[in-house]
Amino acid sequence: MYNFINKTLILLLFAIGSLTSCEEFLDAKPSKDLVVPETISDFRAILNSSDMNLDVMLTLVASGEYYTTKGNWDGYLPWQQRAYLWQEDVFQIGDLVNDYSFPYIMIFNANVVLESLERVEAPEHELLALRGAALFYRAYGYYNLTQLFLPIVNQSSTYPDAFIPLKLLASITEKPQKGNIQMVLSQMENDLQEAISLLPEESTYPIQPNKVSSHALLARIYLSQQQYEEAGFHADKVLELKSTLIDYNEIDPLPNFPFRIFNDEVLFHSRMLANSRITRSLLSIIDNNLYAEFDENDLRRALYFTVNPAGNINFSGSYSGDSDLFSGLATNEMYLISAECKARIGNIQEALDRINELLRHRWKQNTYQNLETESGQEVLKFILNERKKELIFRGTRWADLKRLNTEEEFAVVLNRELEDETYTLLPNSPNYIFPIPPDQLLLEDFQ
Amino acid sequence: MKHFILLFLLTTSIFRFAYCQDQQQSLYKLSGKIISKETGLELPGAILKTDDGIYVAVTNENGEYSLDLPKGIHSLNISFLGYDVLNQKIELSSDINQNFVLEESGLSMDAYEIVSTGYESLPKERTTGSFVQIDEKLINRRVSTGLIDRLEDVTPGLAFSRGANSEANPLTIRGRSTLFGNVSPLIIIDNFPYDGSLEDINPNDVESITVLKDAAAASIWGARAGNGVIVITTKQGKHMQKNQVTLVSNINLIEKPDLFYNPQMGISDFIDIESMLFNQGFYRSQELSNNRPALSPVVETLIAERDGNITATERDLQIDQFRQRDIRRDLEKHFYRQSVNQQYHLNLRGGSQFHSYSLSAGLDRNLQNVLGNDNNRITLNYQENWTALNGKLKLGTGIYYVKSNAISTTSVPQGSPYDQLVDSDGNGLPIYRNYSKRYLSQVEGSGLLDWDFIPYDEIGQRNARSESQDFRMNTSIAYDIGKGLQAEVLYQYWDNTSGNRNIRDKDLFETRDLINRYSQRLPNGALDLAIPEGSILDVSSTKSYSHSVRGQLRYFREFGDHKISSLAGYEIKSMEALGSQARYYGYDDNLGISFPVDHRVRYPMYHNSGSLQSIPSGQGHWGNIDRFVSYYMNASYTYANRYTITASARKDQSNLFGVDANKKGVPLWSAGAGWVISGEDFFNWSAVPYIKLRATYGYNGNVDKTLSAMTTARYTTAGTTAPIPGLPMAFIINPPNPELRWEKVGITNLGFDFETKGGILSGTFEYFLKNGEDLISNAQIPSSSGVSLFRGNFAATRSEGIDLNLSSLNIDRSIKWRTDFIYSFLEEKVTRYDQQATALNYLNTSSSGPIFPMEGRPLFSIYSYEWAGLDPMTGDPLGFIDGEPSNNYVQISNNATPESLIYNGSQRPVHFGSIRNSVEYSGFELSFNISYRMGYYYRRRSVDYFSLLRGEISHDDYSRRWMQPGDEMFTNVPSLPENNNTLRHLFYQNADVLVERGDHIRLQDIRLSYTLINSKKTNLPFQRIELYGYANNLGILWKATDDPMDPDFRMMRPLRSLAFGVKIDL
Repeated sequence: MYNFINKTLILLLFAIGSLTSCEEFLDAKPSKDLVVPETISDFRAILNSSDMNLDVMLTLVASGEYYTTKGNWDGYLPWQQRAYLWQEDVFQIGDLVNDYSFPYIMIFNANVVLESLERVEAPEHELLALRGAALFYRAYGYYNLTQLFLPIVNQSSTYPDAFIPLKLLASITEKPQKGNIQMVLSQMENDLQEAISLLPEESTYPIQPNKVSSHALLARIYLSQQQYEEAGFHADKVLELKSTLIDYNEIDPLPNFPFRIFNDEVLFHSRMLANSRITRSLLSIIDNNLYAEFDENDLRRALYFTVNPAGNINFSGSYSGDSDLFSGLATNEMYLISAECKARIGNIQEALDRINELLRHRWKQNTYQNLETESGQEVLKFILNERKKELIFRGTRWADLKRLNTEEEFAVVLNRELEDETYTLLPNSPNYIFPIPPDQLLLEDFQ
Repeated sequence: MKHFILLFLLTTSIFRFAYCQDQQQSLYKLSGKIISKETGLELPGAILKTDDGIYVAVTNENGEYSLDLPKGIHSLNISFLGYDVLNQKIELSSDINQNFVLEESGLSMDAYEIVSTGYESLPKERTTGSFVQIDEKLINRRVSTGLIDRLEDVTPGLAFSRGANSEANPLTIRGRSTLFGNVSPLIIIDNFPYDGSLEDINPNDVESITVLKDAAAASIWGARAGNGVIVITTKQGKHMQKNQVTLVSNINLIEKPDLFYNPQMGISDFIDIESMLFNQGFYRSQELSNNRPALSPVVETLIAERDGNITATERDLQIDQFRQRDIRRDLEKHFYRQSVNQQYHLNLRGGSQFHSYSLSAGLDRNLQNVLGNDNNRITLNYQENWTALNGKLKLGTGIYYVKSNAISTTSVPQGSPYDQLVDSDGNGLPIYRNYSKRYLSQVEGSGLLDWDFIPYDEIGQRNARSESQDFRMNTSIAYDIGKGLQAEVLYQYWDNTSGNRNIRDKDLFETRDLINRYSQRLPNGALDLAIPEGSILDVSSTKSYSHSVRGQLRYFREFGDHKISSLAGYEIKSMEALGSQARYYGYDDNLGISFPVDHRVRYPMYHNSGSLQSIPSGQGHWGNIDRFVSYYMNASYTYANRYTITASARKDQSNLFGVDANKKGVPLWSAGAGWVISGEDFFNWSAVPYIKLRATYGYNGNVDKTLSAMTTARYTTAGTTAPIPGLPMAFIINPPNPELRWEKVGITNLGFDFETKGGILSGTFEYFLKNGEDLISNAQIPSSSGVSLFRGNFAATRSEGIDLNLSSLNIDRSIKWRTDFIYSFLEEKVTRYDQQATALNYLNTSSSGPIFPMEGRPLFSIYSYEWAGLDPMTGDPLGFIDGEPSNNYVQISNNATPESLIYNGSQRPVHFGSIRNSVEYSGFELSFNISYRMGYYYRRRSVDYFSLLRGEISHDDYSRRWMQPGDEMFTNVPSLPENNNTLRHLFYQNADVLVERGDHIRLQDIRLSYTLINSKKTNLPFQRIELYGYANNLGILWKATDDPMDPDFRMMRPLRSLAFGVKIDL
């Protein structure tokens, strides 16, 4: 009896002991929703995350497309307040600047995917398409930063010290390069050229990039750098593949926000970082003079704007279908890029065809008179003005101002008033280049 | 814990008893009873032995003994735990019947106390570590539904933090040696870590609690013991115990919440501010907003007058009415009530020589302080122990079942400070919180469901139920192999099923509101309901279970002056939890049907077509797995009952995510030594018969399971406002960190125990030093990394302190007066932390937001701006710039560096403890506990002009504000600013003039009881009855500040309660 009990006890102890030899016991995942990304669907899910379809907001705050009241301005974050007034030292110690950090989240996610795909087992074409998407997102993130923190190439000699951290690896300990505009630009070109070669023409959802939207982003980037030939080339590439324009006559003007999300013009959906006091406020007021530039027969007058009960004009024409501001890529922008670039290289008739085609879809049926002229300058001026009107509140104005200010005839002096004080942003002012937030600069350890 | 030593003695004595009987001599029988002098009761388990130790007897359950002795004179030694040893000579020449009466030894039994570490029970004499034992009497001193709060003020070193960052984990033992890791102490119940909810433990089932505070704890309990360990032992039946029935019943009445505790500015003053803001156009953007936000009744009245809908006279009349109202009166009257907590508990226990059992059943019924919200708990508990094979085999088993449920039928509405909830005829009135009254009257008659919210009509109309069933079963088998070796296997299975079922009736505002928001107006004018009419049902359930197995070998050997005791073992544990939730729309509870809706389409909201949202799916799934594998050993050696050395080591491994196998585990160890000085021959101080010195050193561990060495992403599905609702998304939450490892805390503990003769004064003094190393903390990392937060093993802390525990028996006659004094000193600081935060981060510590540690300072500290008074001309608060008073708040804020701030001190008490006095006289016992907390600071609340000028009511300091030159002589409250100035407000809020010392002394509670013990004279139907009354949270006796608020309870004062109860032993 004693022996028996002794034996069973020892056996029992031994049996429990042998359990742990299975390494798997300690490899169990501690929480269901956690994952070490390994499979292609994990990486797809990372690129689908809502962090990947966001654009900076200061392009709207500082571009003079709207004005606001003192009471509403009081509710802005301090750096938004200073940016609104075009002050120097926009960012101060302690400011949490989304416009700086969010593009880098996009870049980090893209880098994680780019580095990990080698280890993933999946059909070749799926891996390549995912690589293409990650490259697109990285370029998209860098373009967002370029708009705010870097000068255009042609002015880079004036701002030799302007750079942003250029991160091409996911490792958080890797020291970034100091990326000036030339470096960042060539990185974006390389990424997008490769993305074009890898991505299919269609994506499942408009929040995901494809070949067409990669051309569109490249067109936008070249335009911002005054490389009109390349910009025109890529815009035309887009229009070859997709040239749909919505006939605004078919849009019901009654809803507060008449446009559908993912409508036929959308190439890549993205929205501006939201701040209820800026992007959604009824006190973000459109200037009466700008409103007046829209002809009575121009349907955009009714579709883009609402006059709120207080008599203020608000923007309501977002391609997001709601109060979020659409800032992604769409065919109408490509018509404008194509038209401008054609005009700039002297291809007047084709430029006119593009802009007239666009505006015919914007005006009441049979009211639009095609612009006919031989004057290149007149066409360009007309196109640039239509660009300002068509792309209002899309976040593109800031980059346009930066490049157009270098041309005397298109340079713009921005003025705004707050509590009886007038603030001015002169063409080519150094305040067009936002400094990197100072505490971020202190933290960086460059190569 | 008396019964452990008892058990031990019993088993050994039975053995010897048998041995003695073998001797064939002419023996006479000495028999009788051993009786307590104090209670007159028989003492089962008392030991009677001859001086030479050859003849031993133990009393049975009736206190009877019988001993066969050879003829002659014998010197007898009669002992019972807690009683003075009786030495008596007896001459035996025939069978004798002789009773002995034992006298209680001066109450204190510290030195003989048995402490349970959860793995083993040891006489305190032979321990070297830091243990605090709370016995049943002390546990039951308080009346409460929960167990853990009963530890407060009776455990040295244990503190309940109140204030910043303490809501989730208020309990700390000797401070906090982790920054972001798990901060809760490990709870052990009946030998195993407890996975369930602490609310499920019935305090009446608990026999004792041991709190382990030093490194010895960790090497016993391992990596999760870094915050200390609380070992709970439930009631067990005792061998050789008469069947005993104990009945406990009590009722606890807790006063209504005091809604007027927070000094709120006058309603009339607030209405003036609202009118002023209205005239400045402040409400204009909200008035115009597409989101149709509700505005306060005053603002709506002003709008109505402006738009010509009412006259100026009507406006003034209405506003004058608002001035008379206060929503808090209506809430107190109609929504709140006194809480009533009832508790019943029945316990049966007993045992024979080979078997013991304990069975108990408990019922708790609590009526919460909000009308119609109740919760109940039923606990059933059965334990049995057997011994067989001459005591060589011990078997134990226990089953615990807890069923608890809660129902909530009322929720307390949030309204404007002067909203009226009930009219003079007792009818409910609507209030406007989600949408403006203007908008709702505009959509009236448009075919929508009634969109009014009438809180009074919804009292008792909700139906949110939650239920939990908790089942725990354990078994143990121990076998004495012989030669001091014992093998043991323990197993526990725990299973918990909990679920919620919330039916939001179709008539509730919440339901009507959701249906209305998603209603779509069709082109033909008809309404299409995206969410069907009917109730909304939310259900969720979680099932958790765990298996724990432990196998261990014990070795105990005593030869001559040497005692060796050791154990080594192996433990494996797996816990899994799995849960999900779902929502059903258009639910009909009678028919049990619901209607499907489309969760993937985004609908424009009825009230704001600019907002597109999909219908909330209410779906969710969760699952966790916790696994541990541990190896441990523990040994002690005692020489001559004077010198003890102990050592322990343990290795824990866990399923840390994405960590290399070699880093999944952490080896922990401790070593200690004890010296009973009073046992030395040279020690000859009869006044102090017991003095012991002891010391331990070793390592505890901790872990943050949310971290990983690899890139980790968290999956979720896109929300209701996302462009593609329901799309699976993954967010990277953790960048790779190959260096990740466990946190370690090195602990030194030095202790000194003493007791004077007769237990008149006894106590324990301990010094400890805890060095936290490799603590997980945030590293500062540039945004360009794309990661907002990076955590790694970067920080270190150091906590040093003293625990002192003194008990004195001041009077020991027919009236007994005892004092128990507890004092703890705790000095904590962060010794390494790489990340420098901004001055504003350090100032902004009042919220439960992120923690910003600073090197050289306590983890929770208060910093402030230097205060230069109020500007005599404007009443502006003044700070300093370059030594000059200034109201340039931009500069004050920009110039402030963490170094330039005033460091006021710790936010958590540095000195704390309690004094408990108890007086006993002829069955009456009165005891009261006075607790104190010293050496800490808090930021008092004052008027918040920033919120006030955004239309939120603020603090009553408004009435003491600076209004005209000269006011600065007697007030520190700044003037009402002309413009809303964030920085001015931030300066005042963070100025040192608002920092107050938290030091205070409070009368925590009073307990009065009367105990009647049955004797032959009284001849009652029970052995013992105790009647008691208990009053808790009696109030503050002294505090350093003149702030009217309680320094520890600044949102709601602790509510006074009064309880009555009875405890009967049949």
